[in-house]
Amino acid sequence: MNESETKPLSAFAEDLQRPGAALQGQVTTLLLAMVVLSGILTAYLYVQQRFAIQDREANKPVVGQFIQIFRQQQKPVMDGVVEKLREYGKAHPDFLPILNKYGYGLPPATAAAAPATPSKAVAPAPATAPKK
Amino acid sequence: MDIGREAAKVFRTIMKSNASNTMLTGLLGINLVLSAVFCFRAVTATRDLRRLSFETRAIQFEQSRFQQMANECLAYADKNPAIIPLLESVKFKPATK
Repeated sequence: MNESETKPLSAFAEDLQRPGAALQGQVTTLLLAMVVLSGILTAYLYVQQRFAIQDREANKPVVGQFIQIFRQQQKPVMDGVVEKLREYGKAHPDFLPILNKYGYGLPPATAAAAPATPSKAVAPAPATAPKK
Repeated sequence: MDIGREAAKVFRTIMKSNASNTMLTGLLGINLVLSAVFCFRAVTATRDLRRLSFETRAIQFEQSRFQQMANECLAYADKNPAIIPLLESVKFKPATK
């Protein structure tokens, strides 16, 4: 009596287990595939970061030294030269276009106080005045 | 009682397959965390490299601009010799003895 009751139950359990197992198999396969793919991605990123860090470590001392030398030695000299040329430009307005061309022109305050610039620079002013 | 035993068997098999899934999910999580860490480190290192490269190019541009201006000053000195002493003092032009 007891056996006859358990037989249909075990059959029911097997039926219940079969699609569940298939589903589990699919989930496991998908998870495995994702683990493999993410492993490949991780390996790629590891190599990339290693190369990037190697490049940075190799370039940092050289570039740092280059920047330091420029800031401590070259820049003050260049600024001094530009300052002398500006002083010369104040006395010789025909030299100012050269300074202006390379962005070393006089600062706005001193430029306003400087003697009149060549006629080419003055010419546009009357042209804009009639528009008012 | 028998009914309970059968049910227990079914759940045990499902639990077994869940263990492997949990392990795979854990591995996936570890991979994702590692990916994020490596990605962050790669981005930081690349950004540093780009900044260094930008600073180098800016300095080279400044040097080149200054050199061009020096050349133009020398050309200007041909027309206006008054600037020659200044150019000699800043060593743009070798001093004449």
